[in-house]
Amino acid sequence: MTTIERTQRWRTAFVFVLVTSAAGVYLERPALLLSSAVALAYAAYPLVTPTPTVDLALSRTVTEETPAHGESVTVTVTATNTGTRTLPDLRLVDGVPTYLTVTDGTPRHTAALRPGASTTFEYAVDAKSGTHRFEPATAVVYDVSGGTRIRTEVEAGRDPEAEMERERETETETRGERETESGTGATDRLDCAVAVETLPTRRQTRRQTGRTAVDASGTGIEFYQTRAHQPGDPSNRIDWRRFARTGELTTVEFRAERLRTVVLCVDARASARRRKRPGEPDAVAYSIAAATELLRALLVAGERVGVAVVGDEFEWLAPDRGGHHRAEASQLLRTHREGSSGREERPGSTPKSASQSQSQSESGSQSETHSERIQQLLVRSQGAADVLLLSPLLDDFGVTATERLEAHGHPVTVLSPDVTTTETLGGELARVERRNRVRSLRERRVPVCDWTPGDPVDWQRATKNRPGTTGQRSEVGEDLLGVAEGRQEAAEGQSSDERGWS
Amino acid sequence: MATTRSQRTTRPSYASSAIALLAAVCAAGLTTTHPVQRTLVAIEALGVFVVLLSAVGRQRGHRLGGLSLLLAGGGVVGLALGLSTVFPAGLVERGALVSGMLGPVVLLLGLYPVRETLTRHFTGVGIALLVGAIVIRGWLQGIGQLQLLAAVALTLLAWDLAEQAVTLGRDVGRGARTVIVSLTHTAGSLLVGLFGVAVAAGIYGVPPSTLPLAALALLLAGTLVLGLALYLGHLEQAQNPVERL
Amino acid sequence: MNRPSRTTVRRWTTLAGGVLVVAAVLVTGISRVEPRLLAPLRWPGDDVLLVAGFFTLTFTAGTLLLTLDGLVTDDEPTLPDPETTPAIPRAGSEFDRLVDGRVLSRRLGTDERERVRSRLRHTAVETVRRREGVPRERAADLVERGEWTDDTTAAAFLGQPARPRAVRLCDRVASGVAFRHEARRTAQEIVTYATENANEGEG
Repeated sequence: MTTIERTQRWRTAFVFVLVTSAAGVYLERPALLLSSAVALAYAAYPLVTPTPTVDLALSRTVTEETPAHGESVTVTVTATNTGTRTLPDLRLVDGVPTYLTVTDGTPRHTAALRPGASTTFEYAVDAKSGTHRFEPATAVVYDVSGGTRIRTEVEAGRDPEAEMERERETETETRGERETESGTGATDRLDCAVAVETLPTRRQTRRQTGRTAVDASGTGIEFYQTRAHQPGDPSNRIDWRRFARTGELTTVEFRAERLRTVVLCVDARASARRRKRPGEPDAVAYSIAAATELLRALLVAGERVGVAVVGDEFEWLAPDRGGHHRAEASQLLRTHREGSSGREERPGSTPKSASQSQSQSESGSQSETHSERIQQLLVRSQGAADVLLLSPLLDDFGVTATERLEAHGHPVTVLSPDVTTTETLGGELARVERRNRVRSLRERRVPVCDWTPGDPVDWQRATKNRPGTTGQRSEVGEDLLGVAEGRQEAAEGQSSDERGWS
Repeated sequence: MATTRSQRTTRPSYASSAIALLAAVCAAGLTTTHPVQRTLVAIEALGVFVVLLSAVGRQRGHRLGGLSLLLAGGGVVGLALGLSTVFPAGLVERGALVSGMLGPVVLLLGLYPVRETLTRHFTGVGIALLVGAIVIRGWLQGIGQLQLLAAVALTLLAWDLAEQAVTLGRDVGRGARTVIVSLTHTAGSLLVGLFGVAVAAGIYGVPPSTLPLAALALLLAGTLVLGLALYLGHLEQAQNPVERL
Repeated sequence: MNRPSRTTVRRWTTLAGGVLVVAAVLVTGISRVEPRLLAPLRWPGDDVLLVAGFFTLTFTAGTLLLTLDGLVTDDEPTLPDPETTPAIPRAGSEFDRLVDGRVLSRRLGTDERERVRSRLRHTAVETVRRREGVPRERAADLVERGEWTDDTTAAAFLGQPARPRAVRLCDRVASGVAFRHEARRTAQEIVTYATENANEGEG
């Protein structure tokens, strides 16, 4: 959208005219009266300067289009004047993605561009997990006098020189499904993919009695693995993302039973929208990043995947397969993240965090509504579906929803991004509470992946003994004890099962 | 606190501020009659630029160096101002001198800035002080016609560049380089000033100190009517912002 | 056309101004060269005051015009702010805000206090249960008796033991401050308990 405005800057010249001519008359000094001619000249200045037409081409490149979490990425922006008039005063502000902060340099730039001239500037951002889209750059152009201002938005397009490069390259390119548009100069996003190393598997719920312990898949730890590509492997099993990143062709291989129909349920409520520290994405953004990756992985594995987003509004997409469905689901996740958080909040609006008590009571009653809705919709969709709940577990929603869903026969697996911090007392308390919830979920035999954003998503790690993580080891012990304490069913079977874990 | 405060500064940009201050001290210098006065203005100019440099230094991280520059520059400016108040001359002439020298200082206070919200106010007061000095000098008839005209032109130029410094600071902040854009804008405004001075000087050469009443009246009327016409032009332009796209 | 358009008005005005200036130049020129030609132009009074009076009127009118339109009515819309991320609260910030130590903090109602207390009690019970590996009833009992911690304030806040005298005193004077202090101490104790026992569990 382009707007043209007059700044009325030179109206001050009229004050000069009045003052000097008044002084000239009252003090009987014609010299002063004459000097008002200078001021008149300045007053006429904005009336005679031509208004520039803004025709800008913007190209944006990054040092790494698929960075790792925490990696610093340098963004280089080049603006070219493709019009026929000089732009004497151009001010550019690049559209840095919403959840990324600029760590070095500045995304703002000024230049005076003759027709055909271009200017370049760069800045650095720290990548975080998730897909981050660049927004259009804002350009403000003043005419020479400063009396007229034109404001417009410019999308990054393709660099004409890079276009020719790319055409030369496509002749030698292998044909295949490209998941990212890597057109040079047209970088519109940073893909910091969440690495998913293992997928959860189907579990029987407690209602199907007696088989919980014996069923080896009850732990929820069975993984798919990748191996080198061999000719003849089906092309829909090739891990294209890894190819895009590393250039190796690998095939995804599966063992044993997978989840058949999965609903990815993202906790996007206001009380879940918290972050570890300023400048980082919040738990909901991370959940959506993980959900996007899990969606892809599960669809590649051949599952039917649905999406439910629990937030201010309830969004639902029934489980299905296929490329079109995947695009729809990705779109749903993407718009939900950008739509509800996004640009309105940016200019420093006050956070609408309710007081603690209010949010607690709100979550209490609303979680009932939410899980009811989830359950109803699941019933509507064909057959029983497994639920993969993504929630930071900062309040009781995750636990309550899991209970309800499991009670109605939907096995739940949980992925919880950890956004708690030890920097404040409230953060530490939240961390303790979250740990408690993770434990209590695990006691109910719900597989929980305690995920630190930046690390790969791995359900198997939840029960592996990791050195250096003091919490984990005793938690495994607690797991055994907690299980032994309350569970009557097949205790021996369980302990033999747990031996099988490590 | 949960919010991330913006790290960029919205303070007036350095390049435009520097040019504005340069124009202001030149205007102040042009309203002087005595070589001693000119020296004082020159000393003040030095102090002003040292203070501006200290702002650059402090922003780039050299806290201690910036602070020492600030103190040094401030001291020099204070010295020049103090000396100007005791300059051996009549009250009115001294008033013109002090007013002319205060102008750039107040402008500096606005552009440093001492307080971001008061920038426009300080700028306005500084320019007004310069205009005051010009008017008093014009009344005292101590300086030549050309000097007077040039002083008016430079004062307007200073105002224009101060405005640009403020908008640039707001739009891109002090982190971005603004030298080219400032110079382009200065070139335009300078040309207009030259044109105005040339026309005014050309129209009349050196006017006699007293004009016949009729001529004075006609000139005055002409000025006002032209001013009105230009003002109407501004209003007309404001109503039709889209000439062509 | 009843009202002439602005452009025409402007153009005529410019023309008039130009004519006046030219006339002024002419008069001055004539006065220098041949003053006697201007004899008919003299009028009685010959007073600058007349001109001044005329001018004052115009000056007032001019300033009125200017102030009516406003000298600088530029809205100056701000450019977007890409360096910052949206203002999202930190995890646990609500608790921090509730129990911070500022003197003029918001007063907490009885309901809110009860909620804070029950939240902390629930967390303590769960943490004890997790760490000690005991059934929930036993854990609740431990918390009730205050045997989970050495700190008297925390023990008293969540259970039966008596509050330390200092806290009781403070409660009489400023109950809000006392409550916050107790809540903070309790939360701190819970956190310490949770992290300390993690180390013990290894050995």
